[in-house]
Amino acid sequence: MKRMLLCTLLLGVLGGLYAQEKATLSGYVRNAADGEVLLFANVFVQELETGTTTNHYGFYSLTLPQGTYSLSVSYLGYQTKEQTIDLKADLELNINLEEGGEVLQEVVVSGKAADESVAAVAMSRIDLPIKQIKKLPALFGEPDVIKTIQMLPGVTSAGEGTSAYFVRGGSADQNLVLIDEAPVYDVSHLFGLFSVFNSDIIKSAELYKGGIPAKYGGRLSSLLEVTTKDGNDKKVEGSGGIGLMAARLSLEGPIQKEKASFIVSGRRSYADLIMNQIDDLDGTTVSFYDLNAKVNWKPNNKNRFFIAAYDGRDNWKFGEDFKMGWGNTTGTFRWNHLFNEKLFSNTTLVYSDFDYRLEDLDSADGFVWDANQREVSLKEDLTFFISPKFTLQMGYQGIYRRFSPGKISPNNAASIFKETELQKMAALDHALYIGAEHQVSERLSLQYGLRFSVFQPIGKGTIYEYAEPTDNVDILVKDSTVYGSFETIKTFSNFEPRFNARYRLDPSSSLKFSYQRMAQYIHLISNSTVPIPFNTWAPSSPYLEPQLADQLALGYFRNFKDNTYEFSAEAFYKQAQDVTEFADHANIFFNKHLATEFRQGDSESYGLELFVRKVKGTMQGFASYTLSKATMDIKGINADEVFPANHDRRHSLNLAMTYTLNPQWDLGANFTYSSGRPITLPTGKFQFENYQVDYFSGRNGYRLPDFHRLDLSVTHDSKKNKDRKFKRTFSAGIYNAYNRQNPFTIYTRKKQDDDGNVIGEGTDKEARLVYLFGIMPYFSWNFQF
Amino acid sequence: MKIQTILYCLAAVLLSTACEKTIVLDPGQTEELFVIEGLITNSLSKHQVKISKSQTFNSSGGALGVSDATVSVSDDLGQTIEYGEVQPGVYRAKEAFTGEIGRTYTLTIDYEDRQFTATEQMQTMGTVDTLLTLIDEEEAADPEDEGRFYDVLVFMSEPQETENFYLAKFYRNGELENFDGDDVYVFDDVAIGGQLEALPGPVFYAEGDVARTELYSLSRRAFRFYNDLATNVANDGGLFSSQPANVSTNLEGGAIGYFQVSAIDVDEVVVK
Repeated sequence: MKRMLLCTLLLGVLGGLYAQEKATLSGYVRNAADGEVLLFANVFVQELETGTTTNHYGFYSLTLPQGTYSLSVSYLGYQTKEQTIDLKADLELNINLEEGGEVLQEVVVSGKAADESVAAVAMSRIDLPIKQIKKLPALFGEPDVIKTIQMLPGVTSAGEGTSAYFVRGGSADQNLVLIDEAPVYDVSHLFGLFSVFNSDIIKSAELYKGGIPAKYGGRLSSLLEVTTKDGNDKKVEGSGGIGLMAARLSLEGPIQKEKASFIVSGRRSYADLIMNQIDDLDGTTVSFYDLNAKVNWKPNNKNRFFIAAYDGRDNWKFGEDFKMGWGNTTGTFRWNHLFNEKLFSNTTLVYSDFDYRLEDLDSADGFVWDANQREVSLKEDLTFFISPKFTLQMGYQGIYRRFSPGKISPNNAASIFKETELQKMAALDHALYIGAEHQVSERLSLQYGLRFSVFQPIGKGTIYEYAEPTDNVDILVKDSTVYGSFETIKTFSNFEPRFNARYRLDPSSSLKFSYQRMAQYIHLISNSTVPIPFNTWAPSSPYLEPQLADQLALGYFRNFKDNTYEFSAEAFYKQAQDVTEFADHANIFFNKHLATEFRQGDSESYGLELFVRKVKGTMQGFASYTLSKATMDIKGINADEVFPANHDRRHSLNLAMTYTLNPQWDLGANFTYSSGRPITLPTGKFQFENYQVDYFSGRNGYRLPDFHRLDLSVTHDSKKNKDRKFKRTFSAGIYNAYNRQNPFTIYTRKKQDDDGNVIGEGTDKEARLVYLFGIMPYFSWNFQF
Repeated sequence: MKIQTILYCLAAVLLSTACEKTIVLDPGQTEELFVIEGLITNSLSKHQVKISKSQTFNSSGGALGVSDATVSVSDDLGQTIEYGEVQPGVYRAKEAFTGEIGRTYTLTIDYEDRQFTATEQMQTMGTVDTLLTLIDEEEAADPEDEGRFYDVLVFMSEPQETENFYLAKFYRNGELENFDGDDVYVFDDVAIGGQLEALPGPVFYAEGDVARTELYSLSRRAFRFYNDLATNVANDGGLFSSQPANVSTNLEGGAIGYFQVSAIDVDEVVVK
């Protein structure tokens, strides 16, 4: 496998070098109106019937024999631009596209080339229609990328009102979430009611469920890459809105016209302002905010810089008794540099921090509990545009991570607590990769690569050696080793091959295949179905093996009616080793011997995903259906028997549609149906003192009832807006239109009457089904200037 | 750790915004298990062991005691104390005895052709120095139960050189108070200091009430058992809390429950 890869790679490189008398055409493709670069735009040379797409930074490079060509640059939702070029020597050409194509007065579903889904080598990759998401119904009227992701084929959720998602049978911690290349460790606000992504600032969001390029690594199941807007470099603009839960405001504009721009965007919930006025709540308040900022500087085509930052936080206060909060802070510095027309470099410096704090404000009970994790990473990606048929990518990423799993301090002199801290941990990550996009023939294109990842837990710290590592009761420490600062505790490494192939059957259909191996070296310490923001992460260590997953996928892609409809069918099979689980009733909070609670084992999942998307016309949207199964086999859990994964749902059907009635009115609808998720419920009970204790016969033996829900929305864009400087739109909708009592969870309690009094001796028990949201109307008001 | 309890409370707050309804579970057939509840302390007493059977989830009425078992406890000095049945399923030591800190005790139960055993060592612990009572101003302003707005404040010494685990029980006029079997007061000394002062108990008292606290030392295994028990009775179905699972046990031979051996410290105060 490895040798073959090298051969094909060399062939490609040599093929490029032997070519003679060539010149390179390169530059950026941008939106003419605001200077935003366009990602994955199509640049096509008509004479040669060849072309390329812009990369993630909006850059393209085409090396062609010298000559005169007609160039056609297209992007869905934009007018195609045709231009004649005389290519005698290397040429720098930036192309500006005007919004609004043939079909469009209406919304653009997604930014990309029209036949992208069929033509791209990549499969299992979905770009999220940000503009459409804003017209779809949303809980409390707050558009949310994560909630739309939960509707995509191959993705399941644990229920409504949660922000965790599960991709192709993988766990919630197996998704890498990047905002401007910086990882976000907890995407939830209000325990998942909303995600941290403010839809006003997102330019694009792409989910990779498979076929992940060698450039990316670190998680087993998926990659969500969120890119924020660059900021208008031509004129100052603003936008904002007020919904039921939160208010938003963004401002963008040039710092130096067409050279430098900025964007700042804020969102804040205001429930706390109302809650403060309600006496019955006794000072209980809940709030969150998000703040994004970015500065872009494009001195020339050779050098482009940006600095982006994100900060978001939840703050909860329960009267004078208790406070808690959590949040992410990220920062990205990026430098895109052209060494020459063919060699594109992206250098990124990233910082990410996640922390939470719990604070008991009572005097005797008073404590502050802090935990956080931080990382700094340096990434260098080189793209070598050898020929239109061959692009080579290589790079390096190094990460320094520090984990502070918990520190308890007294917050007043009378507190019973003493300052206690769990040992901090640190780790170094290195990854080297090389990959190629290789057009072998008219029909066959390949994308292949290899990633070599190294992970080292490092000091300083003490590593205990346990007599019986899985005995979490009689913990017997045989020996301990003290490691100095930056001293390597253990080194893990993996080769991660990646391979994608696309075979074009005809201009509008293709077959695709992909294989990937992914390694994951950090593990979320959570044993609930939905991770909570008080879960920390732990590095691989002598008692915690890295997780590994292999995935195969096969797909058929077809576009209909001049790329109006995109259809795909994908089948996948995924097997993972050493996925991280925990002992029954594991003590995952503040446990010095957490290592004894780990239980690792295998997971297996497979499925079929059907997806159809309509990307043009007055009606747009997608429908998806997934048939899948996910199981886990972990020693020490469920009596060593295979059990369904927490997020295993056999059937899942989703519809998300918008309909443009006329230039003023848009309608939207979501429908979602899925089989109930597995849950562990008691089969028996027993009495111990006056406790009525549940007895369980196995993990995940029950299923919650099926989940289904319809949401509707309407958006009004006033006719007068055309001439207004201050444009207003209004949206309203109904969440859960037919008031379905959708299952959230089931718990048990002593049988009670309607007033909450225990019936009889309290020996009888009952099961209670919890459902979150009944029918819920919402409205929001948005503006632009 | 008390913090876990707080996390469960938070989950409860979240869930309280939701609606709920009673549903009928269909648990199918489950095997009947023997449930054993035993306690030996270092106070002179005819210590007791209860034997009952588990029930199906939907069954009505309390668990029935298991009669005609042979029950005895032996210590690591080779002394054996026989137990006799005093009520159906309740067995009591035929003579009063005092457990000793550091001693290991083994419970042996023979029933028909089955035998269940458990072994446990009595651990040391800190002690309650004094109990004080004080009006809780916040509760006094709007008491949930008429007249009950006194806190009992616990003052306690905790030996820092040893790793200790505790179980606390609170009584009001002789009645055990744990919110109808919803709360388990179990804690370790990982993050607490040597002197605990004015720590309010979980229940409110009225003037004239007799407030009693019992503090038990636990082994690490017993600490695990009571933590599991707390998690089990407060579980939300595994959504935000840990996956539902069975409570651990120290019994061998296929029974569930726990044979607890604890040092005990009892304190009483009349609320005024």
